[in-house]
Amino acid sequence: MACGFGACNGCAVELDGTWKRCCIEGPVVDGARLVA
Amino acid sequence: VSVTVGRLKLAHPLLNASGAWDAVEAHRLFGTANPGLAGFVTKTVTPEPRAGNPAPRIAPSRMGLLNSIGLPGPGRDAFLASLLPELATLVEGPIVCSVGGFSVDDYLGTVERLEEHPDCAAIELNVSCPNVESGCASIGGDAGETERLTAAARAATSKPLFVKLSASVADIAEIARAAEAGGADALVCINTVKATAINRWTHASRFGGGGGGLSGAAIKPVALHAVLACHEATGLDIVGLGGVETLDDVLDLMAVGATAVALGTSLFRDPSLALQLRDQLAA
Repeated sequence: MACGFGACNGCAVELDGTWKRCCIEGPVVDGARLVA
Repeated sequence: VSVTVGRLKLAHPLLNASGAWDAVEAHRLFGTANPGLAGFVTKTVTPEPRAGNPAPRIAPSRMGLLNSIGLPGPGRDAFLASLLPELATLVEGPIVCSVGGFSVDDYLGTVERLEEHPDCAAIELNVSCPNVESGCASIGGDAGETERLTAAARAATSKPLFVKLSASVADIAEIARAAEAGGADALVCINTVKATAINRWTHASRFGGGGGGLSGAAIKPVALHAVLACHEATGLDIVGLGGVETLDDVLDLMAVGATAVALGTSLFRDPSLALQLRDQLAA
């Protein structure tokens, strides 16, 4: 993770089928959203 | 310490690099949208919404950071209708809109609508992103294409027009002269430097998408050379950036011809850096 505050878009993870920032939408998420 | 760069008036010389700051999140998290910055440069606006490149998007590098983000964004319509007006309520100073695309028409469609948008103070043509599949850096890697795009944008807007260049070209001075011939008001030097990271066992890229750009302290001497070359080659104002971390870095870029200086990767480690540098500049 480069910035950790939503600026860089570097920590993208696929969540609910779209790319989300782990630092903002996460960092802790329901595992089901990761594999949906 | 106010400056005018490419007809854009700034209260002091510090800006953010396009893509390296999210003013909406900063306002939500820190209570201030662009602390220490004299204005705000948006992420690059593309005609259609873009998800960005697949993960992984970043990789570490000694004295720097590698990224292949791929210009994620809401697309032109949503940017103009909601994000830009929201930014205008949050940020201090003028908003510079970064424009990208894959053809001259892509850029022009956005420039024409920014010309009429009251919240856009200046337009930056991004012809130097190394992380998208076509257009962009391939325009900025060719003097003729750069002049053609700049001239078309110039004809479509009376607002200050900046052209953001890449140092990953044979002769940046030639591209700078092309932007000047096309009618640019200022140059922005430099975008990330083309670079990559691989897994040596598989020879595969460490990025989920293509491309790769190096930023951070490692590229400061590259930026210094580029600003100097562009300053000697043209009469244009220059926003200098690339690896700026300290007051010395700011002053070095200004010494070789930059009128304003932008911060990128260094803001990731310290989001208050611009506040500190602004105070040091004023002292």
